[in-house]
Amino acid sequence: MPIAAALRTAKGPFLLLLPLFAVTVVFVIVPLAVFVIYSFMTSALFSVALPFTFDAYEAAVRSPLNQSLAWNSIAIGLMTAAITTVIGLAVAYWLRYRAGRLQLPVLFLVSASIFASYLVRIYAWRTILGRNGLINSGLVEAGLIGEPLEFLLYNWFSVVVALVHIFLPYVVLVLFAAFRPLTPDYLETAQDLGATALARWQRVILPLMAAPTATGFLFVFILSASDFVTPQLIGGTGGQLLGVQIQTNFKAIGNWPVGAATSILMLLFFLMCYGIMQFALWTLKLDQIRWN
Amino acid sequence: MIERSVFQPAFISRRPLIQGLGAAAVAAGLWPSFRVPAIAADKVIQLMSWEGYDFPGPLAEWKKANGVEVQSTYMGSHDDIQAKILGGGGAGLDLITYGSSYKQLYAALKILQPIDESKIPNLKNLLPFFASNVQNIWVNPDGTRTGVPCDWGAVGISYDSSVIPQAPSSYDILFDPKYKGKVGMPDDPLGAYGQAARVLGLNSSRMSKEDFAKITNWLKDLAKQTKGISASYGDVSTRFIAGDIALSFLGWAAYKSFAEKAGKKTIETVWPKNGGGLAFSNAYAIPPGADNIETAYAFINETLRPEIQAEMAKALVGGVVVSGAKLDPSIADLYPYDKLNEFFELAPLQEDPPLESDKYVNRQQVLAAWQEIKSAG
Repeated sequence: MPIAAALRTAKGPFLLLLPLFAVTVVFVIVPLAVFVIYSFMTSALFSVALPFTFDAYEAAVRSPLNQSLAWNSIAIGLMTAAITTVIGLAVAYWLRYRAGRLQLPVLFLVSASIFASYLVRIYAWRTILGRNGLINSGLVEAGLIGEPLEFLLYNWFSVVVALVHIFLPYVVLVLFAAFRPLTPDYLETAQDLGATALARWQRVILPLMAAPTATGFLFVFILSASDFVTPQLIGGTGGQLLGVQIQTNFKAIGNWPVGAATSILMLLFFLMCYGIMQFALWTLKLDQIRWN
Repeated sequence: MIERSVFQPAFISRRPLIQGLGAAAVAAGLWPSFRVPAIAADKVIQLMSWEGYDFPGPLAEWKKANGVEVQSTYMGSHDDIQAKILGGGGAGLDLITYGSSYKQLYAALKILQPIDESKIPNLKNLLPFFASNVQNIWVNPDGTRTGVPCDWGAVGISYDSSVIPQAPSSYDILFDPKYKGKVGMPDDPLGAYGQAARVLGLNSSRMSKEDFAKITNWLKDLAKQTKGISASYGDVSTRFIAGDIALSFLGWAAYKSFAEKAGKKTIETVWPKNGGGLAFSNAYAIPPGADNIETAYAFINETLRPEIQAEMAKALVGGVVVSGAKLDPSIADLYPYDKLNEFFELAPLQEDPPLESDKYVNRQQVLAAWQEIKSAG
């Protein structure tokens, strides 16, 4: 078997990586390269033309609408990421150390919620938060409010609620996995040495969980800041995000260079966020566990 | 301390699992396959359109009798069509529909193939209005046919008569402070500019910079009356049914029927004398990648039979484009068929800004401005 023999040589591991490498090149590198090239070209209706220019970048950055939507995206992304991370940490902690026999059923429920369609979940929030939705009709029936609450739906609030709901299961699973090597012994030892609950979090849990928590935070931040479906369905006029502009430039307006330039700028911004996070973790010596 | 992984319960070790999967695969292979009689490759057409424009119900018999299979791709927005075709996914696509306001764009993008009228004898059934050459939507100035009308509809002001008992007589009602937050507006930029221009006595296909600013401001003020632009017409319908809105700009006559199906019998649509409304019409067309053109022609021809049109109109809650169709009362009530010409003056087919122009504001500028209106809360 020549293949088996080849795999056993020193080059074997690289051969095994070849398919992955090919997939990455074809489905990530090449499309990205096309985007970069498009972003420097001149716009023609639903296509691109020469000469190469910076016009698209200038248009993307100068647009007052893009600027305000970019701030919206950052604010909504940060809010969603912060809320998801805090809840995710608490749930994962509970699942790991306190859930007991409930651990498996709850983990199953958390994973199962991922299988519900993204759109179905957004529509579910519309029926919950709507003017005559579950919350409003409940409160009106109970006599707590006279008129339905208007701030629940079609604004940034409903976008954050829906995005937290969509991303929470992923973060819970990631953090639960991160908690797994941290066996109860560590916490018991800390307790035996006199650490209070707060001190256990500060000196044992958070340092060990910093890297995975930051990863979860960034994951949610990037995905929610760049979302373009949720805002269109429940964002109203005040909850629109920058991703919608990219979609519109490609699909409706037909200005591909500006759409591509906006995408590249967002990508660079997110890479910068990743860099800052890595640098911060490294400076604080939290990027990996040091056993000294 | 060794913990048992929750993800790998003790009773499943890898080997039996793999063996089990292997057995399942073998079983699947041995399973007798029941297959429907094969359909000749040239009788399979691929259609891309709005959901329902493949008319599975009305065309079932015809498909069976002729051994035709229609494979449909439904679009979420009209822009999916050019995205698919220009993105290189149009090979084998035999049939699309285009809205009247997309003719100009699709002609420029070369998405519409010439249609051989001799292959569609039922064109003779078309109502005079749809047999004409209005705005070159279906037939180019040189006589080349690019599309075959399939249905039509009109938008005006839709309102919930349980909240607003009297039919609105003017577009001013949309700005009534009483209805702030209860106005609906679909994400239809060209329709919005077209209708707003008509209300203001302008024409969105020939807007000067000043006209454009006036219309944009009017629409921005209107957007402030809404709780956000709805992603689609269907979404406006949902908001009517949920009671989130009481009236809607670009209100579609079909909302009445959608709401009735959901148990709400109070949604009406009017075309006020002042401002009127806009009509739209979808047409079948043959895109460049088509490879079963003959079957596509046969399909189009069948859709122009009066009986099929009547069933299609019922399925879509739309208007028919041929004469002699016996309409369901709920469909006949939607639009005044006895005075269609007058109606099309009150609600003409939408005219759109030019793709490129030195003199007038173009389509791209309108679409860019619409993005600002959408965020003008």
